[in-house]
Amino acid sequence: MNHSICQEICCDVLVIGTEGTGARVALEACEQGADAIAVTKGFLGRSGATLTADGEIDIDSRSAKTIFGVAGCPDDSPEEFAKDMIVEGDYLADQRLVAIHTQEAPQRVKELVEWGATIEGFIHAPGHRYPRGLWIPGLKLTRLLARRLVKSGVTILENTLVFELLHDSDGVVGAVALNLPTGNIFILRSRAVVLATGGAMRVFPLTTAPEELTGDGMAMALRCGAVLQDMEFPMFLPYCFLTPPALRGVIFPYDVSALLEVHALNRHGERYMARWDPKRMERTTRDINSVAAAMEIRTGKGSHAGGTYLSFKHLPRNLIDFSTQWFPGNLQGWRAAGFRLRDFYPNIGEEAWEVAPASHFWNGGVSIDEHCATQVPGLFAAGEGTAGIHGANRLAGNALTMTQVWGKRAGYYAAKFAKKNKLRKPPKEQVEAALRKVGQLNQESSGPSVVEVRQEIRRISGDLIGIVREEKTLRDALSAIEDLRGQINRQHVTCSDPQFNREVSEGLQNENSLDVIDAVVRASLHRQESRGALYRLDYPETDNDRWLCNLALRRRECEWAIEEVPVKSIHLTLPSGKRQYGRRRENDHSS
Amino acid sequence: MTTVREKQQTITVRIRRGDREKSHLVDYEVPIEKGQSVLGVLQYIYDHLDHGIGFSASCRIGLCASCLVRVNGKVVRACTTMAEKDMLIEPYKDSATIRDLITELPPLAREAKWTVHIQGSMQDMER
Repeated sequence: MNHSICQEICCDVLVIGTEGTGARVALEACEQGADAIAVTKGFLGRSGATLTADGEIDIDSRSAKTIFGVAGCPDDSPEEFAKDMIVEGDYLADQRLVAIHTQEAPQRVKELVEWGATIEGFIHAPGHRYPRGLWIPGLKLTRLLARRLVKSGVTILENTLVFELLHDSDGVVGAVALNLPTGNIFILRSRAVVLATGGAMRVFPLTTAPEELTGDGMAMALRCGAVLQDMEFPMFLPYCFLTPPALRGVIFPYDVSALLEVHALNRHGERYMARWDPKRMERTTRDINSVAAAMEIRTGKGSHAGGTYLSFKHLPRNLIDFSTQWFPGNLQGWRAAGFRLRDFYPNIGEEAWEVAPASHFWNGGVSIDEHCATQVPGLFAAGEGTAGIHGANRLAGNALTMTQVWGKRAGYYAAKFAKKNKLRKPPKEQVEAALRKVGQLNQESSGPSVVEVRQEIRRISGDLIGIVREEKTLRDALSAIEDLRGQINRQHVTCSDPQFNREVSEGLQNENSLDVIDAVVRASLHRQESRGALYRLDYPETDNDRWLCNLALRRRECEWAIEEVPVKSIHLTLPSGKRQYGRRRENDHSS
Repeated sequence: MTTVREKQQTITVRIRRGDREKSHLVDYEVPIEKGQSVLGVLQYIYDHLDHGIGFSASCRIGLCASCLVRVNGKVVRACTTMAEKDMLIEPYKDSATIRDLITELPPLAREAKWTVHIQGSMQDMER
């Protein structure tokens, strides 16, 4: 296939991503008078991670009580909420960003309610010292935002895959996109670009994330000179279905949402969490639960299907039966996402569920400041796929909060930036290089198929990276990535139809996913300790004396540079000494 | 117990391919196990039998509805519908077909005017 640029489209602010974060970015940019284009590779309101969120959006308990009249606790405050985020993020969060996050969260949720969102419940999820989870299902949230976006005057481009950013020596000048329905390639020129592209959870074989989460934003940012940070902490959710095939990666929602006390068991029937966090057991945070489950599986104590067991057997029958009457609406009748669990597990409460940790969220990502600015002028980023808000582990309910707080901020500051800057011409050689990327994906290419490359990326992520890591397998991963890098420019495509060519879009995404796992491996190798979502078998302790720093990764040409950046601490004194992994609340009597 | 992997069986799946003007039926032999979704079957075909097949999916857990198809005449979500023997899988609406099983989806809002296809000139958007 011979490719050329079909057209150029100009705007003030280009927003990549249109769901929870992207919609909020675009709405704010528009509010600030910017001419904004919001582009998504999926369908608006029908793609991305936000719509899969069961429903928590967290704000401090006191604000929840005063603003929304729910049963919040007056002892809580944005400052207390911030403390929990910092402690449960294992002290790696950027405390400046956390303070903004918890301060602005109540106002952002208030806006959502003014726009028509309904709060359907209020829950107390693990890791939080107070109940903070306002229940607004992600599906309703994205539909609400989509409708608002359509009315806003923002130009929306659906089914359009942005696959490379364009930049000159003064910063970012736009992006190159592939329109999936036509196969046309065009240039989006803008004064500012905002990445709202989410994480890269699809690089792992078992994941809760939708198709789109392939790490595009992080990889494109890296390639145009931005810094990636905290990439060693992809987050896993401990309890996701393994069987039957249709349910693989579906979240078991009743424990995560802290609705019923569940027991996590290994094949011997042991509640193994007693060895990891005896104080909190299964109600510890998801990072520790996932590491513990992965270790059970790894040491031959897993379930029949290769996971662990979850059981309600200790609960009385009538209590279990009653529970679904008071569960939030989208979970009533034992539903998990769009599935009726009784279709697969008819004897709820009698049999254990077989579950395993699945890739669920990206704690790290593009490094940003308070204004959502990256190190590349004109390039902003918000929401999942940015670093600093969650540190080494995200608390439940903070993903949706993140979309709104940081979406609005990114839209505001990108619009301000756009006002002061002119459109600049994209460098010709970058446009040509982008065109070559698409051109290389053809039937004459001698390399592996795009499907084989995707499968190899997942094999590396699943078998060699995983949740529990060690030097040897990480080194194996690095060399496997190196091998694959030699083949990524010659991926073979069988179908020449330009319309919705899944092979071409997957081929472009494969390069992004490969860049992301490369960063994950390098950061995981560098950090010789266990903390938050990273567990190193060869360095099982948390070492606060050596490793209270963020790892910042850059790549110039093919050379990677890793810098240890001291944690930005303004509120909470950082701990010292070494401790056993998972015991961060051990001496804390406040939880 | 239903969660144990049960013996695989091979089924024949018939898929309507083409666009809204012209289409034809193609048969595929797909091994399935109990609790396999229609979407799982489509993914299998794409991964192992025919990389050229067009289908849409996003969340894969029954929420986004981007995998709407018609199975044996009934409009369903491919991800939450279990595969069975003798399936005919077609676009959910013939007039909305773009390619194979990929269709224009019903808009989420009556006000929706956004552009799904960027074709021809977009003079009004250029400056």
